[in-house]
Amino acid sequence: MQQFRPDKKQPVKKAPVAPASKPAAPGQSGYAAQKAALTPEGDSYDAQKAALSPDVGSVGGVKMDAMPGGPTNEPSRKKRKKKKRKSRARRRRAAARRRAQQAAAKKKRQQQLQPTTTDTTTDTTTDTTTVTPAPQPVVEPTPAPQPVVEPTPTVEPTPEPEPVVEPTPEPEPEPVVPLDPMLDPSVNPDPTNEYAPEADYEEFSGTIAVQGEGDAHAIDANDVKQGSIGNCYFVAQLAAMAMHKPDLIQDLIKDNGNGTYSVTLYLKDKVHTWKRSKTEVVVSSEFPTKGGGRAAYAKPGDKGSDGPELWVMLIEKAFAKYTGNYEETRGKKTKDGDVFAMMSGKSSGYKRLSSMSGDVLLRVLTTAVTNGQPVSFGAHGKSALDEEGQKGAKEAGVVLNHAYAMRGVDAKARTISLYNPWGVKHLDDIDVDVIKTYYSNIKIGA
Amino acid sequence: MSGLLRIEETTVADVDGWMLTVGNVMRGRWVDADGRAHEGLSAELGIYDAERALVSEFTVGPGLEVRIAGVRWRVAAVSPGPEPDDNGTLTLARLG
Repeated sequence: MQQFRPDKKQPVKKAPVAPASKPAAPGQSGYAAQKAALTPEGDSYDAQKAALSPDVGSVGGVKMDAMPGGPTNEPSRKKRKKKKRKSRARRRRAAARRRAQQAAAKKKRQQQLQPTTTDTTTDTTTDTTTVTPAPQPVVEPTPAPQPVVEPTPTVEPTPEPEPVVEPTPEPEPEPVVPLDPMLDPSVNPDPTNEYAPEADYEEFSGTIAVQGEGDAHAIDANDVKQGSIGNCYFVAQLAAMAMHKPDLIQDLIKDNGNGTYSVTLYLKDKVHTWKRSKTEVVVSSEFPTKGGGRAAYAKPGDKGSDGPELWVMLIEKAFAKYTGNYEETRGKKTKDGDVFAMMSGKSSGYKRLSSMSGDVLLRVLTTAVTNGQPVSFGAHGKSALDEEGQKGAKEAGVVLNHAYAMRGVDAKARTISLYNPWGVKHLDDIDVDVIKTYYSNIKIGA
Repeated sequence: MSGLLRIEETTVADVDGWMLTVGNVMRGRWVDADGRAHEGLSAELGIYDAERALVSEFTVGPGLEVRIAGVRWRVAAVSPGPEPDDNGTLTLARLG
């Protein structure tokens, strides 16, 4: 047994009483914190050892040198045992208090984290593992947001119909696509040109064709009367076609019964210009006028019970609609001078009169008439003739730089008759040599 | 109708239902309203009534006066086309 030596400085031991509710160190968590807080032996093993060992100079924080009778005193042994019992009882009570406090703290914590949880009697060991859900407190106020959530479903029905509506307009544009301007009768070509800058559209109530006095057919060459634009090549070929193939023209035009007409032409492909496509062009019965209800361009034909005949005006307008305006139907600007092919779909033959004799010309023309082929003539331009030549053309009644339709040939008499698309100033029984002098070319339809 | 009427060569104009045809814009001779003879750029003008019957056809040049459907007109100008074989223009000025 060791003796107490007062000269030796003894370390002062802390009382073994552990704090009732020792908080876990800030960096301590989980099991380590729990162990540190809940171990029944106290704060540490060393502290426990110091508190219970009889060799240690103090018991329960009381210095031994303060005990009467010294360490070997019998009554003091009983006192020590009694103290030990009291000390154990205190520790047990302290541990019970700590457990109770731990349980209360855990219950409180669980109430904060999961108020709906009924497992409040969970063991402390499991309690340490349930500390993890830190973000949940943010979720707890959710009972309050519920009224906020409620209006949301009322908003949701609004976007729901939208996707239903959106697909509906998508298929709608498809039927709009086929609305080709060529088929839209409300689309009119520009009615103006340099000589009719004020031209505007007016309604003409009429019919496709009327068989007037002296007409062989309802579609007749004398229905052709050129207007205020230089498209003589166009109307001359219409007149020639009307002489030989009136039924073909009749079949090109259909009355739609609603004030519109469908005109079917073999129009040049705008990219591959050597190709022609059978194209329907729908036009209204509005035509350009210069005021006063009189047509600015091709004139109406014979008058019938349903009004004047319109076939020349309809075909001219359909071609103007194809080109975009009347201006580009003039001979100087046209992209398609083969009006025979435009109506029949078959290319015409073009011949220069300078390359053939009068006899050959008469033979070619006779053959064309026999075959029912339309023929048009083109007069010389002024530059092809000198002043005397121009004067001679005028005296012969020829309009230079103008187109005509052939309306007859007499091989025996060696004469040719031409129809002027003006509707007046025709040339009848002109000698073939005069023709060869003032005309440069012929066009023969298929 | 406005005071000036421009008619393209080789085409037909309409004046109060009457037809005016214009062709052969070239050098020629004409006599003006005062009876004086002129030579220069001229045009061939045809006048037809509403029934397409020929009323008159003659060579006209600047200064010449014509009567169309009872209305007097004066030839204001005869102009060539931009190119030799382009259509020329006859311009008439309404007098009454």
